[in-house]
Amino acid sequence: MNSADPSFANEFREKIRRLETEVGKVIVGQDKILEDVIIAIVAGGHVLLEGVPGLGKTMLVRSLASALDLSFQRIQFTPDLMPADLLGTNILVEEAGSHPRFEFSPGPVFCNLLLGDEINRATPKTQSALLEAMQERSVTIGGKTRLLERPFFVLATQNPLEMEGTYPLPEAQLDRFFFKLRVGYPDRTAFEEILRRTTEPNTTTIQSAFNDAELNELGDFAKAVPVPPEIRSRAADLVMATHPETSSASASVKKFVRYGASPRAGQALLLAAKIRALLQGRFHVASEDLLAFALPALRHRVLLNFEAQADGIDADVLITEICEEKSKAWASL
Amino acid sequence: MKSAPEFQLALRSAVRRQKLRQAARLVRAALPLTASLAIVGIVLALVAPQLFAGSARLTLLILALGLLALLLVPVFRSMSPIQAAKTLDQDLHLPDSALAWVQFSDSGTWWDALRAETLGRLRSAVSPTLRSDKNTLILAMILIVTLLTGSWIWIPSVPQGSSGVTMPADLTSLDEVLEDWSAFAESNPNRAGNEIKEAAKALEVALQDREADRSNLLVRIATVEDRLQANLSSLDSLQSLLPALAEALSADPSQSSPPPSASEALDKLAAQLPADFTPANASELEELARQLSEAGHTELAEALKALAKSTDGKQAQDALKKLSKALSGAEALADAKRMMELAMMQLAAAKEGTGSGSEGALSMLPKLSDSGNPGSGAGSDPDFPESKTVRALEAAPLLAPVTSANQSAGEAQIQVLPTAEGLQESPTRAPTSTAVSEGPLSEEAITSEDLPVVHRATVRRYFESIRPKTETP
Repeated sequence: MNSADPSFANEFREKIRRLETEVGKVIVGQDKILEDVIIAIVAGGHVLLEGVPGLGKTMLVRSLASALDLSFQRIQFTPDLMPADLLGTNILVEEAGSHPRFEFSPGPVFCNLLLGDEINRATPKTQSALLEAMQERSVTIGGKTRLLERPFFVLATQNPLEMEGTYPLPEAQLDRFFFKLRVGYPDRTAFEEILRRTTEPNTTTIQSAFNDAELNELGDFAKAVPVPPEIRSRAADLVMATHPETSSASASVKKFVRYGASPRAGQALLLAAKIRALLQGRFHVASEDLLAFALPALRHRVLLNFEAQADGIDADVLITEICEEKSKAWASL
Repeated sequence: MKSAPEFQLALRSAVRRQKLRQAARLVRAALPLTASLAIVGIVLALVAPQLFAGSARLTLLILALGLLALLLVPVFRSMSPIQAAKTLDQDLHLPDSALAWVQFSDSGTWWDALRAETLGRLRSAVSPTLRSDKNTLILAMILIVTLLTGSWIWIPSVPQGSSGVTMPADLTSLDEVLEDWSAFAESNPNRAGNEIKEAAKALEVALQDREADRSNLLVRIATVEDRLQANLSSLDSLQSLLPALAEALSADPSQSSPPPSASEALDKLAAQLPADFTPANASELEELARQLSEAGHTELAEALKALAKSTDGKQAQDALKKLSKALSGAEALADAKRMMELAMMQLAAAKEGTGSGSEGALSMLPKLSDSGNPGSGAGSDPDFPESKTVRALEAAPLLAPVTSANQSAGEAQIQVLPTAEGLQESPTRAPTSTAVSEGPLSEEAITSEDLPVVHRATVRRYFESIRPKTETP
């Protein structure tokens, strides 16, 4: 398949829908979250899922791994978790007839899909161990760099309620997450369905939608979607609007934002927008694609100041305000 | 590839709709300002018409036209391809498809896919014709209302020079008035003639420069008429002196039918004088000459003096000819007054715009140029008697004593005729007393007639301008 061939778009949509269908066999009431996670995975990004316990975050990641036929590892982040527990370490191996030697024992990070459960419970030292893995798709241990498998995704979860004994993720690591998704409660119908499925004998099995190679192919195809210069300019406009030092920033941004979103936010916006455009049957990116991903791509990259925290201002509020302003500005001729 | 007719057509249509929308938006935004201006204009026209005259009107009109031009700017402003594409996307609710179309390079497989996708969306899009028509309708209605309101408020106030439709007809009539005045001034090189000449020149300049509107023209004509009225009042004294002139000439009063004018009668009388004619009462003639001189009629006075001093028929004939010429000047003075009255009536009728418009109103009135042609055209209108008739009627009191001649005797016989009936009868009341009673009548007419409110002040000023300024004791 030629990744630049638009005729692949139908197959692209078909595969994504098939994946959604397979995961949907298990996950109920989280369609938007599921779609966003899939989009992030196709784009090759990591996802931070934030939500109260019991909403199926871990189940969602497990189901995805099953449907994608990917190697899956789960780590429960705890305060005493060490980087070596995550990345692996060199251990001394003594074999008969030979000198003892160090042999690398890979950690759980050597997989396709890593579920970091309650990632904010680990110390910053351990959290930072993932920085290289998330960005470079490699780990360096004992002076030796080892490449991770392709594809490699980190799907982390965190609980926003229990803040005691937790360590907020460092900005550098937050920025490496493609999306930060807030998992909310399902609606009543979905809730009833969840009760039915989980309290009755369930023989549902998840079939593989496509393999890792196909996933890489989907990602490459999505990157080929053209973006009109005007839309690219709007993506930059959206990201720049979160920077309090720019003249185009709103009064709220100047008052409550300490640091704006990084260029990774713009990359995430455009990549996600391309995939959404294909899923919507378009061969170009539109403004609505950018706005659709403004919250998941920007909310964890906008660092609020103390005044915003004191006033209870959430990043989502500011980003929504920015989106409304930009939407009006783009609509005006 | 990019010049797909379907897309280009949709793009042009979207541009047109967007321009109309912008214009309609501007019109809606400007409505409060326009309404405020209109209200201020109406209030000014009703309450303080003097503040709402002259250059202020023109300034307001220019402001209104400027505002209108401003509203039309979006219609004629060009749009960039990207703006046009955005418009099309908004109109058809396309997800930036047109924008991508105009920004993509027209090559490659992705372009083909985009082209097919966009054309498909164009075909399936809901036609925005209804919205477009609504905007166009709103814009057209607002413009029409604005123009109608503006024309009602502003256009009648514009100096007529800026109106290229009705002015030529008015100018033609006024040119004829001016020609008549000039002819009168040339034939009467006295003080009255000079005044008429100067007034004609000033009016001509005002008309050429188009610096005066109808009201100003009416006022100017009324001013000249006042001067003429003053001159004619002095003629009344001449009228009272003419019996003495007749007696002094000792003519045979057997002739009962008056000739058409005093000057002609004098010419006829001169021809009939015997060669040994001498005035019977030279001292009375000299006294008459003195009184005429004091009244400002120096030419008449000189002629009478010459008549009084004549020692034979030849000198008396010459003196009578001079007298005839001077009298014809005085009659022309009356003609000029009448001409001005007619001109004012014409202008007033045109100003009211009754009937089929100003031109129609003018056609109802006698043409001033026809005033010298008895029985022709509008001169036969009983309401506006021809100039010759008017001349005869006004000259009748003058003629009665001097025009009766005994044809059979072959000798001029001057007789003072008894006061005639009808038109030759002296007025039962002075013109000024009529004017005094005219005040309430004119006011009643202004209120009872179906006049536009903003025009009532103009009509009132016209009535005031033609009313004599002095009252009869």
